[in-house]
Amino acid sequence: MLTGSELGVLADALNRAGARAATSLRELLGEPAHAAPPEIWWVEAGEGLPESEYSRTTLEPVSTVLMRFEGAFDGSACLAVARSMIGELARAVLGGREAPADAVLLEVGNILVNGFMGDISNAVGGELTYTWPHCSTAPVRAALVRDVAGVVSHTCLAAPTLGVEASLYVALGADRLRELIRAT
Amino acid sequence: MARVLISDDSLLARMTLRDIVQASGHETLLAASGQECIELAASEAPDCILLDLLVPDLAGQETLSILRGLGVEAPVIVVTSDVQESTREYCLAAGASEVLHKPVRQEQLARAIGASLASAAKASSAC
Repeated sequence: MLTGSELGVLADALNRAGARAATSLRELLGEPAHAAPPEIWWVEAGEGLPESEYSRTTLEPVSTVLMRFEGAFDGSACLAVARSMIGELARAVLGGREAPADAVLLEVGNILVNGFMGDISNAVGGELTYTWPHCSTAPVRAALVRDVAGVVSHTCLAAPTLGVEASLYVALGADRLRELIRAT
Repeated sequence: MARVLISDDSLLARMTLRDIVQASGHETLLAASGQECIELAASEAPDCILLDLLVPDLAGQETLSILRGLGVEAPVIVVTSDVQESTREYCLAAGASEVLHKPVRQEQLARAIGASLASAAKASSAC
């Protein structure tokens, strides 16, 4: 478990990374986008994701773009979008061009997750290597189940004018979490 | 007008970069893999290369190294979603002329291409 001050430091780092992700989403969509403050949970080994208080992505069927990372800290991250919103997301990103919605989601997820994790990596002066991103229709709960205890965070991104919402989830293993917090 | 080779496995990224490059008045060549990038760079002699890093068949860092090993001297602008400082430093040390982060802005990319072409022309005339 983390202390209150450790949680505060982690929340600050996640907040900054969320702001970057919202900026990237705004540039991709050409519409205003913002990030909500992160939700953070401590999750024991083998446990799935707790219910989010305000995300549709734990309630509706989703498509996710999932990446694993290792290096300065280990874990996994994903972008989840309710399937009912992917068409609108793709239309906004494509702006009249044509491409499969899944291909759009993969690149949007790649940009947002890489930017989010890279921002945290830069904050701690570390280095991460990523696995190749892949799309999945598995629920977020299943995608982020871990075999070690650690923290799971959720940052909700929203583009209200389009009615589009996306969730960035990050699972960080406990083993290097305190080092990360100290470095931040 | 220059010939710009765009190498990115993402269809969306290729379309976006192609539109920006063409709007800047340049001609484009498209590669969807690292191998295709190397083949096109060798056969078509582009004036500038836009290179993604996270590509399934060949990481962009390796592609950059192979291109330089083959004697391809066109300036390489890395366009990547990896925003880590360590990645930027590695790419610049490996011979990239610039590292831009996705989503890239039109004016930012146009400026980088212009600066890279000008720098390459200056280096060429000095030889």
